[in-house]
Amino acid sequence: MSSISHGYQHWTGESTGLCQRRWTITGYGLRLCWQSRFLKILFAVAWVGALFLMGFFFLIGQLLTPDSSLVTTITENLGKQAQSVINGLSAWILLYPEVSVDGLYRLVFSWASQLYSMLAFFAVALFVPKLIAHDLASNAILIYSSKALSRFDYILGKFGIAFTLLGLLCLAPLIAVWFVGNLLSPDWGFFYHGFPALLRAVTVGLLGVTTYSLLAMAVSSLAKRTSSATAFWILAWIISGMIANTTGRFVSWGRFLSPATCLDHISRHLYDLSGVLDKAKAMLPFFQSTLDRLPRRNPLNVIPAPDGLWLPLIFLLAFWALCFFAISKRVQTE
Amino acid sequence: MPPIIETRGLSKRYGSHQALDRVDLSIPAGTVGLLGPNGAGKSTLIRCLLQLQNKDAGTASLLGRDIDQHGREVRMRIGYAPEQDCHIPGMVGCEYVTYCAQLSGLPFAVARQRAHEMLDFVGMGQERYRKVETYSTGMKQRIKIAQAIVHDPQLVFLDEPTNGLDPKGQAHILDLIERIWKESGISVVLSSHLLHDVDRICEQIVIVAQGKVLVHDRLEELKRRRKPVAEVSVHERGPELAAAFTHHGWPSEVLSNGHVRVAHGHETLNPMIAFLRDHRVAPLEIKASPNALQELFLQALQNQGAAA
Repeated sequence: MSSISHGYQHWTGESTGLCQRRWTITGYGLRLCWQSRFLKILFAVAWVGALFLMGFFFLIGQLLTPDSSLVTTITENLGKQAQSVINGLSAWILLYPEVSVDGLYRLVFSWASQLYSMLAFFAVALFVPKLIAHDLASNAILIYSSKALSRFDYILGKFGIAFTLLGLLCLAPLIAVWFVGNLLSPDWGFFYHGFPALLRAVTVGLLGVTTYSLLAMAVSSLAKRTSSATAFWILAWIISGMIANTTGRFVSWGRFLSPATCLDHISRHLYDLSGVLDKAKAMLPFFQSTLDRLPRRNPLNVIPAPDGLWLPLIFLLAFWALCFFAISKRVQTE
Repeated sequence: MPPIIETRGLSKRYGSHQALDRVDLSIPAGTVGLLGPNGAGKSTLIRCLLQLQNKDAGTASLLGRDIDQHGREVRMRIGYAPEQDCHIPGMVGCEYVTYCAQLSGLPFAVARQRAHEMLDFVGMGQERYRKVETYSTGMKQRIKIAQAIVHDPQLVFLDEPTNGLDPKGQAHILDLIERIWKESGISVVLSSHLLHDVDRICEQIVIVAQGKVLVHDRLEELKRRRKPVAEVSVHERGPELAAAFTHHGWPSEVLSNGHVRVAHGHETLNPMIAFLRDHRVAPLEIKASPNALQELFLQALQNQGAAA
């Protein structure tokens, strides 16, 4: 039963720093969340999607390669109209790389951001009970608070879990796409021309990941039972969406009562796809005529960027503050 | 060496209930028993010292450092085993203790090694590889102590560590607590409402009631100051002996178990033994100062009640 004790031994070493102790919380949380098979599937989807995008940018790079066998094979199989489009695109990229490369990246990143935000929603639904609700249910907050950590350290450690997971799920694939896509292109000037688009993607990604992380923590801390945390998360999105839709009909700022709407507006403003399209149409007459011939009015589903950036940003910051307040209240040991 | 605990005017109120009322304490290193009835303010005092609850007024220092200014650093040198059932979900015993050590500032490799050492110390064998939520009450108490001392603190607070244990389990935990001070020199503050636990282990006593410190002194000193009392076990002649003691000027009474309790008033038992010999009484057993702590405790509470 009991093992033999060799008595008490003192320890005389150097203690780890505060960041290391915060990382201990994050590291354990990441290991705990990573046990979910469904979360692994979501990561696989995100990174397979990133691989496809890398392939797409490799293909774009091939347009600049003289006598590319890949481009030749494609144009031979797609007919004359496709050949003219590809030739036009090649010329456009060669002549206006600062617009074409940036525009392509913005277009792809904008769509990818929407897809990844959906993945983030499902990912949070999977790991939200393991953030704070678990600790509240088992009284673990008392253990954390009695150690060499403050409440803020605990919150930061937990934030690290959500932020790292969502960052690796939504943000890292886009950065990888940009890096590998440019690495595979024949002209390394793509790195330069694609950099502004990356900055936009990182800004949108950081705002999204931070918002999702804080909301996930707030929901997790408000759930009295571990099992109800996921339901709370889904309900919170549905209810906030409904409130924003309803109030948005009466007052213009009402639509920003949903964090999802705020993020969507900020994303559209930063990517500014309609601006890119206008430039492309002005530079390439064939592009304008091709788009005009298509039956749908808005084939690329580009909604013009809303005028104001500050209002959704202020609302988003208010959501962050509210979440932080709720979390810090709930993790008190009083 | 600075006092391990020093408070000045420490107060805490929950609504209309004054949980701590201007508590002034200065406790030197050693084993300290924090005694008091349920709801006296023992746990609140510990929680305020560890900053698990905000105090309303007053100052407090642990190990010579102000908790308001150096809270985090102070807690690095302090261990705490709470009364409530608490654990980090999903962890096996050794993983849990390792994690707690890391949270207290130990590097991972050291934390893992010390976790196993401490689990050996508290007498946990293969159970350490089971999830903490599956543990029995006794095992949970042991692992709480292990996580409280794994980072080699200078002071450890144990809040009702024998709660819910059978007598064998209680004895084991008390042995363990005794060893913490004797083998490691870690000061122990043992909060309990069980007088026997405190009497067995602690050198110093702090009696708390209604948020106030009623008594704070060394146990030996308290016992010495107390009026000498003995309990004499005799065969059949209890009432007769009690009457003889009273006639001799020593107040006495026959207890429900048939023993005679006598306030003999001498430092040693010799005068009483001589008295018994003179009266040709052969005692079965004589206990000097039985239940001394209980009497001190009750007396402190009575004094408090009278003052109120």
